[in-house]
Amino acid sequence: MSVDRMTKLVARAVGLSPQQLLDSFIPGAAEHLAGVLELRNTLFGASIHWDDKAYMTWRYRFGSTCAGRGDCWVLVLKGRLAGMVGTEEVELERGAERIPAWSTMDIAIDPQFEGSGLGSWMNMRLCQAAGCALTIGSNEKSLNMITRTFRRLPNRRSFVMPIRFQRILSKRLGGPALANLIAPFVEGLARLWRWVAFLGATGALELKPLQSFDGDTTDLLQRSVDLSEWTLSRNIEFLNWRLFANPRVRYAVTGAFEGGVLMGYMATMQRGDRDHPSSTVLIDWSIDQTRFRPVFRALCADAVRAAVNQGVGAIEVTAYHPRSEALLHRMGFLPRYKAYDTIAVYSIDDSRLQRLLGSGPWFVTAANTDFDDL
Amino acid sequence: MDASKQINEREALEMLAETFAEPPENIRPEVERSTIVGWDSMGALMLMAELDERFSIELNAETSKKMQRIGDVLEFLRQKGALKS
Repeated sequence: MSVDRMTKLVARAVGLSPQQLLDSFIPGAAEHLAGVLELRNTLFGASIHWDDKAYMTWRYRFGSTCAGRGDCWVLVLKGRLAGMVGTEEVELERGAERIPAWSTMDIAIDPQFEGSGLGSWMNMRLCQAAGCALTIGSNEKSLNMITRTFRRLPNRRSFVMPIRFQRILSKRLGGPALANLIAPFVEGLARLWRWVAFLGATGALELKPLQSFDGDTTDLLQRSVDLSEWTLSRNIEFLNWRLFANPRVRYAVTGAFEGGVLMGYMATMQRGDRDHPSSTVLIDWSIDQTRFRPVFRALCADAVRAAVNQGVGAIEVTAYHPRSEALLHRMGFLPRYKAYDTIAVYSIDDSRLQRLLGSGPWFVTAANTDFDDL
Repeated sequence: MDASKQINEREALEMLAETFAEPPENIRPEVERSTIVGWDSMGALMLMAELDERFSIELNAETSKKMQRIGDVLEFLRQKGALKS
């Protein structure tokens, strides 16, 4: 269905003219922030455990030149906030090709307007305005809309490396009694596997925590690009914003140096209670292409070692990068199916869409999503 | 409603199956909206478009939201004279 047709239908459904509807959907300004926070609190209040005002003003501009890298678009109908969709301005790149695009996220509709097609219309309208759009991840409610609005790539893939096995075995064996008996033995085998898998992983590399990204990282980012892969352009401003200024989550970032040169970094976060984290998540990495395998392995080994020391139950990662996925598998990470690990693209230019869909692998990490709180 | 545009219940269920991209056997009057994956925001829009194109019936947001079962859509079509009784 064309956007014009959708606009006419939705406008009629909510009692407006098409032009009135179009004029009602605008980038949010400071005056809309309170309404946006109220809508999010109404819809997701129980799951918001962070300072949502700090998060929203970090992620979106709200009419100012503050931190945000995109706009929170709001739909105001008859003086009432009916819905919102967030955007992040990104650039897709592969080799010499650069495509400006919007990544869409944080969609919310006032329950009073549910069922009127507003969510789909807002999404479609933004896709049209952007010319090229990307959405990474979905949920039960949005999966169908994404499938019908965007063109889906194969799902991203999730992996887990269990550290503690009692819960897993309890589920498999139908109770804790036998699981408690077997778990120490399985955990011993897993420890042996990790020892073999990561034997000598650090090699000559020096691993150090990073407090911010600087000029060394710019050099690394240039050396970490694989010209055959589609990826979202990165620079130190983006990485400092995403991984060090994020008010929702604190990340640990480790740099791997060889002869004083930054060869790669990996960002991780902990899920669950701060004092008793349930798992460690590998969020993002960039690795020098000439030393990808040993540096990635060393950074994974370091993350696993830290996770074991912190007593977490598992290490998780969702990747969209065949080379990393193959190495993760080899190191003992087990694939795990998740229906909502989607990635989907939209482009008004069909030849560009075909290139995005069919010309080479992608490199996308969780840093390109807004799922850092989950 | 022009009698030539009227459809029977079986045809209406087929139309809804196509609109919501669901297998026809899943679309029955008693089936609830929450169990139909395709009857989401996009599905609601597709339904508006279908009713508009096929019968020139306008479906507004309030009525659309109130439809909670396939039977509610059939009843709406009946009230508008699009469904043969």
